[in-house]
Amino acid sequence: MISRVFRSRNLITYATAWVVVMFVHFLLLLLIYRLNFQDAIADSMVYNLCFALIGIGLWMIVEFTGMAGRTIRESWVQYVTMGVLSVFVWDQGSTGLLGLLRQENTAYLSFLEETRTMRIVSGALYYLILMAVLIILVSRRTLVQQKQREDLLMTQLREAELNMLKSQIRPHFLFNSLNSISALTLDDPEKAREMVVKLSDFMRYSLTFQGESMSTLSSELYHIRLFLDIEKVRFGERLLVEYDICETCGSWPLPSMILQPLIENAVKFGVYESTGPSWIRVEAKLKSPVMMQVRISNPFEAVTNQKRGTGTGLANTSRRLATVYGIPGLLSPITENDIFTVQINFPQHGKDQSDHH
Amino acid sequence: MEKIKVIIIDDEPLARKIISGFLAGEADIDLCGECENGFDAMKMISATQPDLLFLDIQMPKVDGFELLEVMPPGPEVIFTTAYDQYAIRAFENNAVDYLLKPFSRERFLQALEKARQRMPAGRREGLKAMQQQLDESRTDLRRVVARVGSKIHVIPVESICYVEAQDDYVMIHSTAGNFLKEKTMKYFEQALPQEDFLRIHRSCILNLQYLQSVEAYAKDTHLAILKSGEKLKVSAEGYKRLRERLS
Repeated sequence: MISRVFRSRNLITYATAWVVVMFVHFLLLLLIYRLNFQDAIADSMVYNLCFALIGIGLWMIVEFTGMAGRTIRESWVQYVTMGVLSVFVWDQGSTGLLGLLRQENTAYLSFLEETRTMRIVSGALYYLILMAVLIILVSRRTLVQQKQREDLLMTQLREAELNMLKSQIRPHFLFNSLNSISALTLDDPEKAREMVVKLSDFMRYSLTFQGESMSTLSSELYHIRLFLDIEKVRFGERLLVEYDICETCGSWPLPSMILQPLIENAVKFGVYESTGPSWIRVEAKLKSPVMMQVRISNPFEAVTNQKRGTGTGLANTSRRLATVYGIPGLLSPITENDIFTVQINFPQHGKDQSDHH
Repeated sequence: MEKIKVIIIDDEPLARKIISGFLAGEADIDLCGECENGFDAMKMISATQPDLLFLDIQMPKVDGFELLEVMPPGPEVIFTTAYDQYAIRAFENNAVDYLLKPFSRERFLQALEKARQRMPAGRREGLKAMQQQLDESRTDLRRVVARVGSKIHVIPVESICYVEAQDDYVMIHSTAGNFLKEKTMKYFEQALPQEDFLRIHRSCILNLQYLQSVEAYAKDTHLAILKSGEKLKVSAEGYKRLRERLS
């Protein structure tokens, strides 16, 4: 707290402000009140330096006590008391000091006496201005800190949600895949080995996912293919996968692992919940030179499918898109004729990149 | 010697294959069939009356526990599951054996041996206790399974109008018809989603989505009028809860 007051930048600003006030004070005395040079210097220096010193004390008090945790009434009482005290000490101190310094100069001393009321009033004004500035600065900083804390909390919450979503499907997927591999070793070791490699590649990718990095469509699709290939081995003819990817879209940038949760959702509400054959369709095409659209669809049966559960996954992805691109509404879920489609528009540039243009 | 009749129930072909592969070497086992969902399993169980089931938990539409709820008593059950902490807790405290996928041949044979030991009696106490434990911590039920003959009906909770006590059973009144279940009112009160369902009487839990209006009936009793026109008694206690919920 104290270190904040004495931080050089703050102190220089404070001192500069007082030098300016002191100079105005000096000019006023010299030009309007026609004091001589020495009296004007002594007067402006003593009065303003005294208040500047008291001001540092006030500054520390505001920093220490802050704005929080007290009632308005208590604050008022405290500020008024502080004000009366400051002005009193200031008036007594500086008048006393000037009386000593200018002992022989009776003309000046009588001027001092005449203007005393005005000085007390201006002291009160100094106090009000100083406190207003301090309170505004301190409370604004408190607000900024509070906002930062809240933001941090929100990010952590989102990460926790994301992790929870991941852990819902991954362990099932992992252990069931291992079980399928175990079965394949009985009479198709070649295929078993192939699946071990695919599962390893996929798990490595999903474990190293950091959350903020950008990737390309072809890289994302590579890992989605791994995932769906493994699921196809598990479910056999029950799962059909179709891709319709426009050739020029491969290098399109998009946040890494943004599609994976949607694919997992499609599997979870499609083939996991269907007794007959099910399918997943992944499409990517250019909507315009600066916009790529990805659609992921799967059939679902409205009657037995749980309504809940889909919401959080989609909301998470949607939020992540909004954070990356700074545009809301890039993701839209569409339900028609028992087919569920998630449609996402990927702009060519993320928020940070477009800021440069 | 009479062979042990076995059915494998799992929605993944390779998962079924590993079990049938392990069973192939066992002379006293008669593999009656393999099913990939609860509906087929129900029919096959009724038709072949097996002694032992290998039952997967995670299956589409009707999961392993739901199948257990509705199937006729008799067969021993060895559960197979990949990852389900909630279920594993229930297994561990009870005598039923279970296999965590993937499992070794040794572990598989051990479970099979355990089943052989219990074979003649067909004791179901373990299963009952396990079912009870699962029931006790059940919340936010999304669907209810009921059996009519060898056919399984899956009733989404949204289509349940109300649940009514009938002696040792409860009658589920749904838009698709009425179904009898061997469960307690206490179970349904806890398991059905709290935001829609409310106990309005000792013997009745109502889905508020189907409520039309409430009117005074006699001292301390009210009547709930459903959108279908049906009238249900509301006790004083139930009316208090209802008012709290609707205000």
